[in-house]
Amino acid sequence: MMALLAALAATAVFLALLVSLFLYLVVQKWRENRRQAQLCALKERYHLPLLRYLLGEEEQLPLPSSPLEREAMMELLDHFASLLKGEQVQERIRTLAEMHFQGWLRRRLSSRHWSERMNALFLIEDLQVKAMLPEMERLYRSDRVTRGEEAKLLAIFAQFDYSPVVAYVLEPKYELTEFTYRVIFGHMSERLLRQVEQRFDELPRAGKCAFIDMIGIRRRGERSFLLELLTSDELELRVRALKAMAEIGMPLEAARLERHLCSPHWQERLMAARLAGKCREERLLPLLYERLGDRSFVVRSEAAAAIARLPGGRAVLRTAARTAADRYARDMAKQWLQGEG
Amino acid sequence: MMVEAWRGFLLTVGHVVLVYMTIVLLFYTFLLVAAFIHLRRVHRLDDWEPYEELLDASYAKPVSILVPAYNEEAGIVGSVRSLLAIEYPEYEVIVINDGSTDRTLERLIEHFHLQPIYRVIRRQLAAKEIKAVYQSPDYPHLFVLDKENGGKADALNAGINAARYPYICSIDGDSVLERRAFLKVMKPMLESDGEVIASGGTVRVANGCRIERGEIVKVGLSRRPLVIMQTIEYLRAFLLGRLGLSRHNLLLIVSGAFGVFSKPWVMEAGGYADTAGEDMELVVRLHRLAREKNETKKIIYIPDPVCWTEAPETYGDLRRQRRRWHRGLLESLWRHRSLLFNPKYGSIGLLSLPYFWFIELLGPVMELIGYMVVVCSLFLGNLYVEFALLLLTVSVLYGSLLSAAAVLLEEWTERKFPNVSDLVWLFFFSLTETLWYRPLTAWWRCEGVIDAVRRKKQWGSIKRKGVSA
Repeated sequence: MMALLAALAATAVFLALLVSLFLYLVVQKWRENRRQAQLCALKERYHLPLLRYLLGEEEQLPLPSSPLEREAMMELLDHFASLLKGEQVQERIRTLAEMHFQGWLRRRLSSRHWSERMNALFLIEDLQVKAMLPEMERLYRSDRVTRGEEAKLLAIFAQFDYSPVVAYVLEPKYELTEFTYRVIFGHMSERLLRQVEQRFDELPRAGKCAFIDMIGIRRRGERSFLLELLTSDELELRVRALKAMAEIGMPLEAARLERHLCSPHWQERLMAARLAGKCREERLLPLLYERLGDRSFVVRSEAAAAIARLPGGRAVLRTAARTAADRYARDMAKQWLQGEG
Repeated sequence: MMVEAWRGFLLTVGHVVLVYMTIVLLFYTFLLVAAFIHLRRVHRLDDWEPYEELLDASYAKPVSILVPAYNEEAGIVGSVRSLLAIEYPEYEVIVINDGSTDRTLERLIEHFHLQPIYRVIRRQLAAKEIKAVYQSPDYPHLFVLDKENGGKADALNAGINAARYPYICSIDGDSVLERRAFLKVMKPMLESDGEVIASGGTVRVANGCRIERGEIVKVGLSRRPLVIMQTIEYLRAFLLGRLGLSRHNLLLIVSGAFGVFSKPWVMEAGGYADTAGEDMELVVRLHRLAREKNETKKIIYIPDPVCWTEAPETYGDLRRQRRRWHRGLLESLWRHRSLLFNPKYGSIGLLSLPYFWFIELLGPVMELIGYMVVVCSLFLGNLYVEFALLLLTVSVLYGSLLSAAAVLLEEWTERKFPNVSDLVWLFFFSLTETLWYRPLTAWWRCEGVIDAVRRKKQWGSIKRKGVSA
């Protein structure tokens, strides 16, 4: 009997809780739907005047007076920031944000809710509110900063060309992943990247890999730096350097390339074949022909792709498709002759 | 004497069921709290900004999307169209026509103007013969493999063999993906530098939503009780079950309807196996492989990315589906029985597998016994009626109230349903769950166990209307 009563009591309490929560959420949903409708109407009202102001066609702008109006304006501003390009427009967006939303951003940045702080950081980044740098620095130094916030803060610091970011990436609060390093380096100016390059050896492995990738992605002409990396004992660094050179289309002499094309590691052979395809030197054809029969499928495929790109390459592929002793080489040549890749 | 012995037996069985249900109830309540804490933390986070960066091709890694299709003529074009419209920098879509007997292939050829091509395919995983490979001149990243029928796992393995990219994603031919789902599901994999080897998103019921040209235009709720109950069931399974398990790397299921995997790991694990629950089977093997190689790898679930799928609308179809799911569960668990309570496999052996054996697999059996005890007790006098009421109360808590909590959790955090009326319907129906839906599905799932024991095999597919058409 006692057990039944206890179970019934638990059910009644749980049910009462759920029903109260349900009623609360129904009311909330109804109010939120209404608020969203109002927000939409306000955004509609601000849309044209704000656009004209940002494009410099209008000098005056009706300023937001209620929190809802401010929210509507901020959402629109964020929308335009991703849509409109041009220094003047971006400058107007930044000035407007600094004039009207700094207090709001400051409060959000010191909120105890992680999601609110993150949203504030997203807005600061989109609207380029550089005036918030001291607050961001404070957040970065605080104990409550999380891994996600650290990554976002460093990316924004990099965008704002904030010099201390170089020291921060060398000694981050939380270990950064290669992906995060790439995002940060991707936002850095040449000035900051040069500073990082000078201290390359101090970077953790993930940072080193990301930095080399960034040379390729941003097509930076760092020939001597990359050539030096090719002599590294670390396979991963050599592979990344070859990949970056292939991205840039930075030629490498046949003799040096041969060493990498004959590497015992398939990753290195793969990247060397990719680089060979960019070098456009007929002398490389025999070396690549050998790789058509490589024991690794991806290397065979890359070698065929490289041959197809080199002058006289298609003739070589035609010969391979007919006469190569290796069946894999014949198949791969056939596929690339068809122009598929 | 016989009657007394029978009564005693009934009471003992009833007590076992009661204790079992109470333990499971407490466990689910713990998962509910864990899910609530996590979802509240991210609940107001901008739903696009964190992913914007990934649109830059130099940060994202390319994905091969595999769509196994067997007699999917009703929905395949819409599904493929929705995949061609997703926002992701670099991907290919490989539809694997697994010997369909309807016009699946013809519809694809007609609609996308497919042309046969020559493509070298490595047979790294065993799969039935590929008869032809097609490519669309309009969408060069769309390929169709036409192969002999070999089942879903075989089709996926053929797709993996043909895939060019380092990540693979399997998507059911009857589902519709939200445009940004990929960016969201890939983010943790990219950010973790390979620590996350598989990641799955949420699957929701598409019936009732407005879908135009392979895209969800308006989220809605079907007014059919059977579909509403499945909607609630999906919410409960994903928000409560998977989120809690994923937080502790205990996940053994990444939904077959939408999951992304690291291809080298899938290859090493041997690809998909021919079981009714090939998705779960693969995830268990990935966990196993990671443990055996002594590498810290994670398999995670992300609540936000949504894949919409068509739920069965008739009792017959639903029964077939549930039987198949449960059979798959038992087959996978049985294949990997050596992991159960095996400390060598850490938390997977000591927590995950016991959870799946004793809660997921045994749950419907215990539930069904509970319902039978309740019915029998009602005929055996006062003492037994009291016990029956106790058991019924616990099953209401276990079934209806936890489902109602899941519905409210969704509303509090995700808010996918825009209308107030949808919330009202969901809440009302969740409270009726114990009275009709749970006994039904518990029975069907028990049938699945019987099928597995009798080694019965069938595709178990349901009739499609084609939600995305």
